[in-house]
Amino acid sequence: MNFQLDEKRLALQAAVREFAQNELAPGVIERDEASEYPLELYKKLGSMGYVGLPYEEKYGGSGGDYLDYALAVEEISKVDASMGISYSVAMSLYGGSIINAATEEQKLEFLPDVFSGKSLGAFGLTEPNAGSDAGGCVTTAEKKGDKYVLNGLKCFNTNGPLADHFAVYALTQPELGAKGLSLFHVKKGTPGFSIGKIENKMGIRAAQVSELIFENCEIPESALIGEEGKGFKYAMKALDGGRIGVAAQGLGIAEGAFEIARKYLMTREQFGKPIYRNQHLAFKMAELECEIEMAKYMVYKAALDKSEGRPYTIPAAKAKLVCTNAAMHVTTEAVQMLGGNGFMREYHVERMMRDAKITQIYEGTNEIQKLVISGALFK
Amino acid sequence: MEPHSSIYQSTMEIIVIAKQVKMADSVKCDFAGVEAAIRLKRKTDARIKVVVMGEEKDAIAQVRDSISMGADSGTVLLLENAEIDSWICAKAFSDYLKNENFDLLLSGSFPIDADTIQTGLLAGNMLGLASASHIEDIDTGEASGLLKAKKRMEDRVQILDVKMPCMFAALPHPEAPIYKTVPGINRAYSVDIPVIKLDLNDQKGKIKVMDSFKIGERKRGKCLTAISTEGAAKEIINTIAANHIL
Ligand SMILES: Cc1cc2nc3c(=O)[nH]c(=O)nc-3n(C[C@H](O)[C@H](O)[C@H](O)COP(=O)(O)OP(=O)(O)OC[C@H]3O[C@@H](n4cnc5c(N)ncnc54)[C@H](O)[C@@H]3O)c2cc1C
Repeated sequence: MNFQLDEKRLALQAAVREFAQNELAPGVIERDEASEYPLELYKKLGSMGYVGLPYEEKYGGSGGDYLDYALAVEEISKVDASMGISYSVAMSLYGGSIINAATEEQKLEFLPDVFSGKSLGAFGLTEPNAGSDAGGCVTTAEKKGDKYVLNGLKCFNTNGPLADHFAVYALTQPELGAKGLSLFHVKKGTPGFSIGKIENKMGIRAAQVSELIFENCEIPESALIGEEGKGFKYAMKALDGGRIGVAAQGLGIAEGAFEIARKYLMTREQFGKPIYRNQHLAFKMAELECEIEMAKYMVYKAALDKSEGRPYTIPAAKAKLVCTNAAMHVTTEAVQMLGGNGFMREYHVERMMRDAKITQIYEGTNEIQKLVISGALFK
Repeated sequence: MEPHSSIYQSTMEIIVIAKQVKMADSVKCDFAGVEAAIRLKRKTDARIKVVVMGEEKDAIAQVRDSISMGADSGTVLLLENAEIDSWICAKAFSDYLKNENFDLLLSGSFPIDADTIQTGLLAGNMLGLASASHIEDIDTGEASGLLKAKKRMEDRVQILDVKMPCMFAALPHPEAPIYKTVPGINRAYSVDIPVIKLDLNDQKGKIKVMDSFKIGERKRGKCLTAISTEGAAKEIINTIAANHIL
């Protein structure tokens, strides 16, 4: 067992950190307030090879693995959790959906743009009446000649308004429920496909989340990814990978807030001494430090399990649960430790606390993670 | 032997030299030279090799960082048995470079050398190269075999047309950092980085630094108000003359 990142991974981690601190940190407060996504910065990250980290070069990736990718999501999310999730959704949920099930020809057509960071990908599974119970989708894909016709509405799609490529799950055999779900690739601008409401959110406000509306939207037969009726399986597999991304996002948020609090405790003085000299606060930090370290090992392990070909459904669920709970706990404590300043925008931790909340909800709520983990315990 | 330039028909060969300086508990690395090389490589077809002098582990790390940013290859020079000063380092660099093929030799300007910018210029001199310091920007020249360089002075810039092979000490551009890329990092950790040990047989240093000055802050211009046109013209001419522009 080796708990040390090798030199090359450390270099990669340091490089993403440098970019995030220099380029993403300025303006992060303004982007949160204005709900503006820094697409140009994302593209810049792509041009340097950091977007397609976990995928092969022939698909536009840069030939690293899932741990490299988790390290990048973590570093980005320390500063800007909105970009963290946008990146993660494009890689794990859109990218994962396609790479796990598509033909070679489809991969070469649908992946390079997204893996090279030139454009974003989105993932459309959730519907107003199908959230945790994703099998309850009602969006349909009816086969007509050599086409499929999509009808229905997907909600809460991260990257929806910005993406060029969409992995969309729809029923080819509605009577079969989850077993009738299939996966399709849909291009932005396809007639009959439009972006609906753009959500006004509590956190990750710079990320863009919207409805996807399909009204007699015709897509070619060749846009079916994998086999008809296997969509639910493909979605769950993509989400297993996605949960590693969300775990890394949570870890990054926790670390970002922790570091701000640590510095604050050393400089803020009350009762004639820096406030970290109060054992209550120092011990609190010691506990949070341990919580972060636990979270880190769990997500790195899940990422390596996936990279090295071991089963990763349960490790990913555990990492998502632990890391996102750490994010919520650490950010809430950080706000408290910064006192009144913690409540103010310019100290960042209040944004991080708002951002942390969503990590416990999307890509399977933490209750659903417990369902997955406990399900394996009592088989 | 004269270093000979390939008078780049196709690919310009750039060598960047950097010397590390050990401080109390850290090593000062100078990336201004390699950054200038990478900026030039973005404008023209070029190949960059970095030659770093320092302690083995730190120097290898600097070569790897340079390759991650966009250099193509690198070598480490270790000096043994010598009292290290700028002259000794310059001599070691120039001895090594005598056998290398390059069109442009680059070093950084400030962060090393006790800020005296000596090593690079001395090495350039020892190799008989046209040399210039405080270079802010480099472009390919109007004719082949020429480079156009912008040299920062106290109060102006000078545009130099220089014939290759030549040597420039480049200024850093902290406002426009050059980031490491994933292909760069992959290359940095897969290439071989030769470590060359130079035994200098107890040579003694030859340089004593008395003092050194940095370029001063640019002063604000003077605003002439309530003055006749003639008076203003005279004042401007005087200022220009006093600054040796005329
Ligand atoms: C900002 C944001 C971005 C999103 N991005 C995407 C995206 O890109 N693509 C996409 O397809 N979806 C996306 N989602 C949807 C997200 O994955 C769902 O919101 C999430 O899975 C929960 O579903 P729900 O909102 O319908 O909640 P519900 O399923 O209605 O759950 C409500 C509550 O009940 C609990 N609950 C439900 N069932 C159980 C159970 N069996 N046992 C115990 N507790 C249970 C839940 O944990 C939760 O607390 C996004 C959501 C948000 C808010």
